Amino acid sequence: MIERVSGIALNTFRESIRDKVLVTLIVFAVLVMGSARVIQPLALGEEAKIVKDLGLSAITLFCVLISILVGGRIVYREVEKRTIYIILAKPVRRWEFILGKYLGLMAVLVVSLAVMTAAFYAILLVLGVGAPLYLMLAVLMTLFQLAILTAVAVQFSTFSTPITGAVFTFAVYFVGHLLRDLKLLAAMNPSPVVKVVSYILYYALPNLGNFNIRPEVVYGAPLDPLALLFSGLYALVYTATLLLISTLIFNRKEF
Amino acid sequence: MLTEVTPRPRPPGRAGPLAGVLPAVLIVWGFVGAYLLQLSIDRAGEDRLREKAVAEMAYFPSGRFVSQSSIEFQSLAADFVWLRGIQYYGYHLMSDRKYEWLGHVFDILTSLDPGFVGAYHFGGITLAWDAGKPHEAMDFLVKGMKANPMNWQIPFDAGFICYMLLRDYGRASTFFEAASKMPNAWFILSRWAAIAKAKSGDFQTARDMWVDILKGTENRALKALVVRQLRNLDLTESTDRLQKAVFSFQEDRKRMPTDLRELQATGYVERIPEEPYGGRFYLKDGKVLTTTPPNQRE
Amino acid sequence: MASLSEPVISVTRLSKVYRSGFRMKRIQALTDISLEVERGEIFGFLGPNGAGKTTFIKVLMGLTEPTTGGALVFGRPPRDAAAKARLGFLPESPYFYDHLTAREFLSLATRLSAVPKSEAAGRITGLLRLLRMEIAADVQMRGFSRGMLQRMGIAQALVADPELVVLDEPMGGLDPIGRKEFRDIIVDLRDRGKTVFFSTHILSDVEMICDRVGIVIEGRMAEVGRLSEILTGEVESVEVTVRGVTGKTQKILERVSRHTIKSGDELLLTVKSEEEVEKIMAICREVGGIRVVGIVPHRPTLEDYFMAHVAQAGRKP
Repeated sequence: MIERVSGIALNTFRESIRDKVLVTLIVFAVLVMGSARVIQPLALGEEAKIVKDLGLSAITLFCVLISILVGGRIVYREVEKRTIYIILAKPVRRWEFILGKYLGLMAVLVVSLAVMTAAFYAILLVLGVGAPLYLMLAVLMTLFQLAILTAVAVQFSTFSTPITGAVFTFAVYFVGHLLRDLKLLAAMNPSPVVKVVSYILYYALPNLGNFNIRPEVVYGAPLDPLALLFSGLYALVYTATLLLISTLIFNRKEF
Repeated sequence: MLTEVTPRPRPPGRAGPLAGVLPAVLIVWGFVGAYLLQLSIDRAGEDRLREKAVAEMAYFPSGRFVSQSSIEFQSLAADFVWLRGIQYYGYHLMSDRKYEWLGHVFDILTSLDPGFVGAYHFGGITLAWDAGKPHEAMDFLVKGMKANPMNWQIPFDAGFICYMLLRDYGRASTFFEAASKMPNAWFILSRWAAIAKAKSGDFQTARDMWVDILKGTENRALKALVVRQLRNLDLTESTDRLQKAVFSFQEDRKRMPTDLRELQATGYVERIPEEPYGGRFYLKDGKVLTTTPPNQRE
Repeated sequence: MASLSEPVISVTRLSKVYRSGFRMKRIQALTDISLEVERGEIFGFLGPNGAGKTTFIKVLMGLTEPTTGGALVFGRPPRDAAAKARLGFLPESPYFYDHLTAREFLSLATRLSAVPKSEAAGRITGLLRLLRMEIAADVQMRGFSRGMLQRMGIAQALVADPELVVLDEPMGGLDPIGRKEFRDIIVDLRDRGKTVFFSTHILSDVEMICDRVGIVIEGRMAEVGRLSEILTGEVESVEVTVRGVTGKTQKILERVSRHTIKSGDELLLTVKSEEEVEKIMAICREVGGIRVVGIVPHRPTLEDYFMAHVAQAGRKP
């Protein structure tokens, strides 16, 4: 099993790492981070905060884009190019295929994150703003968020075209961050139907707000390690569930 | 191996070597034309004041809208609002000194990023002094204290405004006291608590407080504000001293001095103080005035 | 575990209906197909384009589910991993991963096919040699020609040394040399004890190498069996060529012949039976001065058979 999954994962990784979209996004992220230099004189003493906000936000945003844009094509591409016929004719189980594609894509994201974080720290040091290691906790939480988002992208990729899948995945990303607001609004709304529906949505859809610890990290505020641990577990459980759903969809797929 | 015996004839209609140049030239001219047209458009737009006013307000959409469209990047959005807010402040500082939207902008900013202490600090002080809205500033700072209960800077600013502008010494002392108990609080805060309690409203205290603010910030605009306030303070103090001397003279001699030099000559003042804005003090109808008009006390 | 005497492929009353378009239009791709493929034979699946050959193979490979009926490979359902482990598949117009070299791709194939690591390298080298791909072994496949891709296709199908090899239109786009090579490979596989199932619309390929044939037309099985049984071998017609015939004689001969063609001063007569040949010979001897240049009997070819079936299917309502 490991041989098959890792074979597919490695192949997916090699294929995606050469994707021009990927390289473009990484370059753009680094450029955005570098533009912090321009902001320095205008910031009236708040450069440190702004540079850190900008850097961590760029890393998150661009990796989210990679997840959505590259992930959206990951299964579709194989079907469209019919390379999948050869793969599935081999003794590869369908769930192994899905898992392999997912892990390959996550490997790409880890590499992208690493490159961007290295550039971020380099920029922080060059600007003399201070580069504490605990900033990486924000990157770690971003990785957890990406784990879920990539699983969403893979799931859509099993039955949608890349563009539709990308749009849906982005929609999930957007809504995933509004869920806290939704819960608050629901609490204030008198209608019980609205309350119930909102609560169902709150717990069913991925609560991506769990993974945004940038404000705490940038201000050096204390973090609750238990909350971080639970967030990580949440990502794991939710991702596994999504991959299972993807497998079910993919199992029934005919070519 | 085959070799061409006769050279292949050029296909008919093939263009000469300059053929590639013409499209390139046209493209360059296209961009030049677009650039020139854009300049004209911008110039025309500048003349329309109403558009400008709308444009100013257009930069500050509702806080809820900005918050939701920022997905998870509220702190970054706050940073952009901060930069825009500074621009707004700087522009009006140089022109009409009217800061209509300052409170609104900083309110949005701090709603997006409640932990942005620097924004409360700068916003609170500029609202109180430059915009002349100390009560709005106090409300703003109270919001900041709720969001950052462990921060000492915000209650210090609140105490400062109470002491300097609102002359509410009791409340000022309470704020200073509370601030002094916060982690990493400036050690001088307990001193200020005592001074405020003693209800001293003298100029030296005020000057010292402003200097403390100056030392505690890297914000250039805030430093400039402090310098302005110190100068204003000088003016007020000098005017006050001269005025007291005039009243003493009047009491003793039952008449107004003819001019300030008489005051000096008769020893009611040691010397005429320098006017901080480069103008001159003079006496008119028993009142000490300065040649510098109010709107030039910058 | 299927015993050696059981059929390698066993299809029973297989039907596949597709629904397509907004109005869910029904398309009957396969109707009631049954066949069996025995171990060690080369089975040719023959039919015109659009007959449903690829759909059938997709069902065998577990890529598509049948609507009714069933298929068994090595006695197991097509999606069973144990069945897949014993077969190799070459799809039509195969496409591979551009960014991989030939060697890298075969390496991936060995990983997915559970080929033991110790043997993988050896197998890859052997296959590259067999298919004359050694020169291009470390070249990225994006630069490969159609023929090279086809050979890579066969290579990845053979990487696990499978008992059954399934090929969908393997000769597509190959030049005559390439086709001969492929035919030789297929025959070699059979000689080594493997079973080969391939689909094609090219008759000569089938005629040359297949042990058994299945003819499918418009989704239905027209005939299954040994070529020698399908083509009865009886003389279907005889073509008699005569020279030096005058106008009057020509008219007499034309009445006997089913079909006459004049070519220069030669006359080609087609007759159906030996008696009719005798009649023509008699006329020629009687008239005199006519030379019988040739007598050629025609046995029905697969093409004749095929065209007849297609025509028959076309006449159905």
